[in-house]
Amino acid sequence: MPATAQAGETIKIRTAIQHPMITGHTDAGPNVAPRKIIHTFAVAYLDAEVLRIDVAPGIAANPFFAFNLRARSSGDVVFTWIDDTGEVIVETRQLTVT
Amino acid sequence: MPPMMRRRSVLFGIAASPAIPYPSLAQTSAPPSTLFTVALAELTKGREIKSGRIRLETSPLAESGSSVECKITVENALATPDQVQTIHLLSEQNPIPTIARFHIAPDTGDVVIETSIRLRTTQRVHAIAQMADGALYADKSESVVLLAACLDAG
Amino acid sequence: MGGLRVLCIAIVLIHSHTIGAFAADGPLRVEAQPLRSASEFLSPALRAEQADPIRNRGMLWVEQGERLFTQPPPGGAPSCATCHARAETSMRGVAARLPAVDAASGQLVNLEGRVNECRIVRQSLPPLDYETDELLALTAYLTALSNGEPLAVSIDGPASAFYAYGQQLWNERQGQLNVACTQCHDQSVGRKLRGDTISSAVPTGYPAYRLEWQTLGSLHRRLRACQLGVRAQLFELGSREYLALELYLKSRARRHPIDAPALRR
Repeated sequence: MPATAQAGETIKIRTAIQHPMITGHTDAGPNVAPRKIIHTFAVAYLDAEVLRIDVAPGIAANPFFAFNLRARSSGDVVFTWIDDTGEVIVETRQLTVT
Repeated sequence: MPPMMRRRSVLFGIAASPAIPYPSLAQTSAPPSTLFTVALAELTKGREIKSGRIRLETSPLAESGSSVECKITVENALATPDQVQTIHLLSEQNPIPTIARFHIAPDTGDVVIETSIRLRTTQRVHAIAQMADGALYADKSESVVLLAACLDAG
Repeated sequence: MGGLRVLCIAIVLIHSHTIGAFAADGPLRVEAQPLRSASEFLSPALRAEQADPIRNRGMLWVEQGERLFTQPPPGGAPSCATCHARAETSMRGVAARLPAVDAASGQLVNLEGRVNECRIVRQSLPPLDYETDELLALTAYLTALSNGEPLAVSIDGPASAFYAYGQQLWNERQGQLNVACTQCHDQSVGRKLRGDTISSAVPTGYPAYRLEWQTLGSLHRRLRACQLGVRAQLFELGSREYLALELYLKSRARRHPIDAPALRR
């Protein structure tokens, strides 16, 4: 994502995270590893949630999401990924709005 | 500076356009799974699905079902009562029909979401947008999958 | 065993489209033709994805590798960067010259082996197994530091015997399909196999993110996948056989620039 934007401008944010997204499903038979996926990806901007994604095993490994954000004023964009083991990964990026 | 992590517009009709009925699910290729039909029925609860406002694009020819490009575009005017609330991404042939649900905050403006999805086999994928006023709009896209997902690799 | 199912399909195609052109037990002919770079065999979509540092998922491992290289490991051992400061310059070209014969042991050692040697000798840490995220991350990071550098392995002196062994393995028929590497990757380059195009087997992109694997993988894992395809007895990852083949392949593709981590189907 860009570090700066003009008020009212729409910016594009792209995210990728390393995660195997084990589906718990294969067409292969009984020896299936238990499901372990990122089940939630949430984005907050200026302390308000702007996007939340309920993720199912149908999202590809090492999940990629791109989306738009409308810049209003300077503040943090907080990205949160939560997986089936309860691991929570939070990344914050500062957006300066001019 | 995108968040790279440790381990871990295309407009489609206009908001006030008259409703165009969503085309019937009858298609030339494999019929949708029962799982999909049930999931869709639970989602719509008998409401009419309209075309327009939402557009779904997936790779027409996917080299690997393990990762198929997918783009959802929703026309979404600001400060109107019919803003998009949730987008459901559904697969006709995957073992779990729901691929993802996208919850969109109000006053987001036009929505463009890109991701990569898994497809078990050649099939259609549907994106159904639920608006704040309860209206449903949908679009679908077909991908031919050369190498199926759901298989163990060497 | 879904993999085997796919491979069964491959087998049929090999017989009908590729190997059918060869005499079953005739002498193997190696045709000298210029090698085509690996990216030539990629679709435009995959090539664009590979060039994009966010869409190229292999970059997630490069970033992890840089962290592992720079940060001291738990337990008080020095970090890799303690010895190899300013890796962007000090480690540039290293991956292009490996595998190479280790003077002390006389063994052929590749990048994975070098990393593990440092862990054992310099850091008093256990070696990392092939295909662990940690080893893939370190090798991806170090290989990416040599991006653009042409492969420049030595096959002289003590390396010559390993090279000869690799060449022998390359030309030897193996597996239930009784097929040698050279039959596909020298003699049938550009022909179709299971909806894919047979490549020149230029190994400049490894470790590579293969969509089929849904993760990054080593060159040895890729070699093993070919062996699975011809239903051959599999060698161990890191074995002398795969090391020799790695040396042969990297010498064969000498002067081809490294472009790792690459995307593959």
